[in-house]
Order: sequence, then structure tokens, then C-alpha cells
Amino acid sequence: MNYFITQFATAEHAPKADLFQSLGIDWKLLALQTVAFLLLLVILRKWVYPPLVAMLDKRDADMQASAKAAKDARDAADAAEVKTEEMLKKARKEAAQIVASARDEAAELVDAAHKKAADKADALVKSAQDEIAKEVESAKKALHNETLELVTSATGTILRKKVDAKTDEALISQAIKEAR
Amino acid sequence: MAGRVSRRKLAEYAAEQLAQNNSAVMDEIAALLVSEKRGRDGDLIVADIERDLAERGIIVATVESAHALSDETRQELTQLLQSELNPEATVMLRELVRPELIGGVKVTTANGVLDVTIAKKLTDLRAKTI
Repeated sequence: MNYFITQFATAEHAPKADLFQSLGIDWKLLALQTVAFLLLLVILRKWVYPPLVAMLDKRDADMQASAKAAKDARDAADAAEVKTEEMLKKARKEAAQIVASARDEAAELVDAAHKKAADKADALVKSAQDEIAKEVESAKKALHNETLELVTSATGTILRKKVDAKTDEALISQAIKEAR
Repeated sequence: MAGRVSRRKLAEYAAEQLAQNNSAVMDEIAALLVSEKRGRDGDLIVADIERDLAERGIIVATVESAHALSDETRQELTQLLQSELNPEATVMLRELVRPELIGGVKVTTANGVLDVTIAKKLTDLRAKTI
């Protein structure tokens, strides 16, 4: 490689040596380096840069896709958070309604129970009063009948002792007069 | 064997005999009732006889009292029965003494009953139980 480069440089550019030598530039070497650079450039452009650029492009695309996915995920999370908040709000509202409704129902049940107890107590009192009235009536009847029996027995006993033949005769005479 | 004589015919026969002062007819009637096993008809036949006698002008009255009747009481009862049933009828009193009546009198005829005894009044009083 060095031999090839040296031979090419020595054969073509001998007349211009003074200008370039005064500037300290070896034009043969410069040409060779330029060719080498161009060759390198071609090689890079043909075999290195495309895959590299493709890789960079792919990486860029991946990064953009990731960023977009992240953004989408953030947006979805925000939307979900908003939806969750709305659902919670709705659930709290429904819970409050249920609690209020349950309180009302409980109050109604308590009132109904009070009323039922009061009605039952009234019915018991009335039943007891009716029972007492019946017993009083029954006692009155029993007393009436017992008194009647006592009076009848006592009357009979006394009259058996008091009504003699003479009294009886007067009684019969009076009865006959009344029968006419 | 002859058939049974009806109660009505027996009563008519007995009343006719009694009106003729034949008191033995009652023994005959009693014997007949016993032989025909009609003892339960006795009271009914007596009532029929009394009814027949009443139609013939003879009032038979059963008088129940706690004490024996005096003559004045008998007279008053006879007058009462004649005034109520038949002024020209002959009144025959069948007297029964029942001390449990306590006082008053009960007169039973074929036409009805007059009960003014003290026992009846006490019974009526007892009947007022509730």
C-alpha cells in the first residue's frame, strides 16, 4: 500500500514542487490523501452511513413512538382518572340517596311500630275494659239471682212460720175477691 | 175380643153414671184401664169426665191449699166457680191439703186453673233470675 502510494506520488507532480514546498505542502501526498478521503467517503456513504442513518432513524422513530405511546398512556390515565372521579362522585351521590332513603324508611318503620304498639295497647285496654264490664255484669246477675234466692227462701221460711190457718183463710178470701 | 173403648166414650159413660150418683163407676173405669194397660190415660180420662160433667151442669174442682178449708172458704169458692162458669151448676170440691203451698189456694177445673198460692208467687219470683 505504501509502495503503491509512493510510486503514484513520485510519477505525476514534479514541476509544481516549489510552490507547494514553499508552503510546506506535499501535493502528491495531498492528492493521495484526498483520494483516500474520497474513497473513505464513498465507503462510508455506501456501507456505513446508510445503516447508521437507518439505525438512527429507527431509533428516532422508536423514540417518537415511545413518546407518543407515553403521551397516549398519560392521556388515557387522565381520562380514566376523570372517569373514576365521575364514578366516585356518582357513587357518593347514590350512597347519600340510599342513606337518606334508608333513614326515611327507618323513620317510617319506627312510626309504624309506635302506631302498631299504641293500637295494640288501646285494643288491650279496650279488651280489658270489655272483660271487666262483662265480669261486672256477670257479678251483678249473680248477685241479683243470689239475692232473689235468698229473699225467696227467707220469705218462704218466714211465711211458713207466720201463715197459720186463720191467716190463710183471710188470704184465700182476699184472693177470691180479687179473682172475681 | 172386643176392641178398645175410646177415651171419649168412657168419659161420657162415667159422667152419666156419676150424675146419677153412681160413684162405683170409677172403680170399673180403673179396672178397665189396668186390664188394658192404659194406666197413662187415667189423668186424661178424669179430665174428660170433668168436662162432661161440666156440660151436664156439675162442676168438679180440685182445691189445693196449705190448710184445711173452712166452710166460709168453701162457700166463697163455690160462688166464685158458679159466677165464672155456670150459675146453675152444682159445684163439687175435691180438697187436697198440701202444706208446701204455704198459703193461698189452687183451684183446678176442666176449664182451667186458678193458682193464687204463696208457693206459686215465690216460684214466679225465682223465675225472675237473669
